[in-house]
Amino acid sequence: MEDVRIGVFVCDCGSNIAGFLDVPKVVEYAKTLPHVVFAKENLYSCSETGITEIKDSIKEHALTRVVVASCTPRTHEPTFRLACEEAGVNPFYFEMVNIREQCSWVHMQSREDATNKAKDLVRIGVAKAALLDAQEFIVVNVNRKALVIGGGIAGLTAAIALSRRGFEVVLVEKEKELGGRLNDLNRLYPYGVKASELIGGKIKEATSSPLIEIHTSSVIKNVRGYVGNYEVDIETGEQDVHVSCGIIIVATGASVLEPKGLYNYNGRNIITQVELERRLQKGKIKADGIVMIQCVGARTEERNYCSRTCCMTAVKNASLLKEKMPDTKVFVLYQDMQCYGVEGEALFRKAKEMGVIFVNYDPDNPPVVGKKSVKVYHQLMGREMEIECDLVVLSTPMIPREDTDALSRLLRVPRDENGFFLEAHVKLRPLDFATDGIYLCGSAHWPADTRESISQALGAVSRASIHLARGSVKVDPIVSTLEDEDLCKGCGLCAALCPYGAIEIIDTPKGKKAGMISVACKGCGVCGATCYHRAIKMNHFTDEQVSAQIAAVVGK
Amino acid sequence: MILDAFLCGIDGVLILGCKDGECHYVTGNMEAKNKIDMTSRLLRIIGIDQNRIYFGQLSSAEGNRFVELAENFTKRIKEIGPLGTEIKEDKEGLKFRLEAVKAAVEGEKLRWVIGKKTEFMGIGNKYGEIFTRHEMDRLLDGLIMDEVAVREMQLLLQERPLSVKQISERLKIPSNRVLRYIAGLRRKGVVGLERVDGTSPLYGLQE
Ligand SMILES: Cc1cc2nc3c(=O)[nH]c(=O)nc-3n(C[C@H](O)[C@H](O)[C@H](O)COP(=O)(O)OP(=O)(O)OC[C@H]3O[C@@H](n4cnc5c(N)ncnc54)[C@H](O)[C@@H]3O)c2cc1C
Ligand code: SF4
Ligand code: SF4
Repeated sequence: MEDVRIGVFVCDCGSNIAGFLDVPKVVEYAKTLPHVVFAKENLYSCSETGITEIKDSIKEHALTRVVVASCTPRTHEPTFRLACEEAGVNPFYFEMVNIREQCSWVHMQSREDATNKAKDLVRIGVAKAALLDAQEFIVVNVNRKALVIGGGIAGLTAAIALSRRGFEVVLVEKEKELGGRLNDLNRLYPYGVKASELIGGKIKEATSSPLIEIHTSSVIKNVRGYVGNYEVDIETGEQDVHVSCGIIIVATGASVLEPKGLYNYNGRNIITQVELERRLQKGKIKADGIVMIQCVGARTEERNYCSRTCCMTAVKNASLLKEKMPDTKVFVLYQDMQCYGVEGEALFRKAKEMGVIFVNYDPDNPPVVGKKSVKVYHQLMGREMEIECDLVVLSTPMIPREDTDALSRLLRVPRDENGFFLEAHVKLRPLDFATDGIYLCGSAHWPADTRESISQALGAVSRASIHLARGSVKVDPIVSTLEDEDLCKGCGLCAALCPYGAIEIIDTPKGKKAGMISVACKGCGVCGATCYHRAIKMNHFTDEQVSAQIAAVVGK
Repeated sequence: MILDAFLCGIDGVLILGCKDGECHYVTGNMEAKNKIDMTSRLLRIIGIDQNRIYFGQLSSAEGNRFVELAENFTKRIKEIGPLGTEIKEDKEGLKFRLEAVKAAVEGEKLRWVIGKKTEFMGIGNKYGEIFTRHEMDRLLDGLIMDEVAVREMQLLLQERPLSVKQISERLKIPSNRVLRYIAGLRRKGVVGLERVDGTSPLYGLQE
């Protein structure tokens, strides 16, 4: 058995700690604990002087474990780990005890209680320190090639941005043509840019870039691996293609709801905004009266979200039609107008000035579409009005693509309650999936307009470039390990529960076993707490270490 | 771990996690909730006050709420008194029961049930039956009661072989239930017929 020699350093933090509890007493107490061979008070443990004191003591007293009782590990754990490493002690032989935020600062009124609690905390920390294991950082190489799934505006923007940074890109598009939804559109709000010009420019740059390899009429068939090293099979119709890449960007866009059975939809004189856009592209529209109905199949019980882009689409197209045919009456029947942003508001105002008439309807008493007219209850006037028209346009929401589920299973990434892809964190990681090395942009995530899709694509590229540019990923070794292969029965419960897809059930000579993908593991501990064969060990938070801490809570 | 704490003589365990949907590890708080829920059900079955375990959810910005939770919990535990006050068992008896519960939570059956709980309630079991919360609760309680009793029996039999009647008296479980458990354990080869003592067969653990 190795000789465990623990050194304990108790920090005054100036008066932050020493002002509210008796540090010398805590130091004296620490000396009485098992395995502790040295204990010392520091004025500021994290200062140059403090660090030197720690390093010198490690050498002088041949310490093999170090405990610092001071502030929060959030800020200073790396500092102290480094000090240990420099003094020849493995950085994971270090344990930090928080006696500032968790003790002196919250028990300022009671010096004695605070001192006692600090003693308890130190005892618990020492109990764990005695059982710590040495660990090495895990470093994996990152394959500098990227895969982009989806060749709409988001995917094309991402592929081009990556190639401009010098990275090789494989772009996979399901349809025969690149371009996505923009192929169907006429002009784009807010600036009236021609969709074909915008997307045409992108397609031209992507297809002429030597760094971008494009596969159209192709889909993803199989995905294996983890950040830095994904192995992907692509089905191209002819021969399957295999791609090894470091990161994956998902830009598969959204579908648009087809309003079957709603408002007598027929695709001839009662059409969707998408169909209107196609007619506008060709430029042949004749009508004396046009009625647009908003929120068709959106914000209902079944689909309770707002698709965000349809109101501006209606404002845009109503204005365009009014401009072309000033004598045509154009009505927009709405629940709420979603015209966010300065430009959106301005266009909405302009449409009203041009003579587009906006009528608010009550979802409980929706408009009724007849042969040559639409009836709607006008809430302000308090009576029903009948609008004569020869064209009805239904604004329907973006909905998740049909194959979103299949793709989410292949990539092992989650979807939200509406079926769109779900990011890792709304605020902190909006363009990442929880799984490292897979990113998300455009309307695959949530109804987004073109500008939003472009900026998300650039954002996703900048996130992905961190790994691609570094060429390697270094991860904390505080991860799960399959400690005892013989104990594992390959039952797969851990793999099913791991939120990061960091466990694969693999075939080994000893049968099916859990294969831990350390670089993908975040050390959450779910698998360790689940395996009933106790085959899995959580590095740095082993059962033995935590049990020892629990025992130390009572064991004075 | 929670049970370790009780076995160490700790009177109450307060566990804090993030709010739903805010877990840094995506599903960690949900998994924890399910595991803790299971543990407190087990405690109830052996007669220990469920309130000795509490899973609180709050965000790191809610310092006041933390203080409130901690103070209320301490107050509640003080009211309940030291561990074991609520059941008619001596120290050894309490330890025996807790060990059985620990064996039960470490076992295959309950781990799968907890692990699959969310799925059962969402997409149903392999027969496509979807459980409501109420059904799930009933199902769980039944399952847990059996599981604890079986573990207790195994612990008892570790000492020496016993007859159904003896087991039934020691564990205060009706003998028809003991018989059912024995039959189950025999099928799995965990328990076997040791010898016959007079007219009653004695059962013991198989190696
Ligand atoms: C009627 C209408 C009008 C609009 N008007 C405007 C406007 O005026 N201004 C504006 O800014 N925005 C407008 N938008 C929104 C705009 O269309 C979207 O913001 C944009 O198309 C989003 O781009 P994307 O790349 O995310 O998705 P998409 O354009 O949908 O592209 C996704 C691509 O991925 C491909 N794909 C899907 N699944 C797979 C798979 N599994 N494997 C490989 N490839 C796959 C698809 O074939 C498609 O080519 C409008 C939308 C609609 C419906
Ligand atoms: S490690 Fe445990 S939970 Fe995972 S497959 Fe093996 S036995 Fe099952
Ligand atoms: S610790 Fe968490 S992230 Fe790591 S393998 Fe286990 S369940 Fe997955």
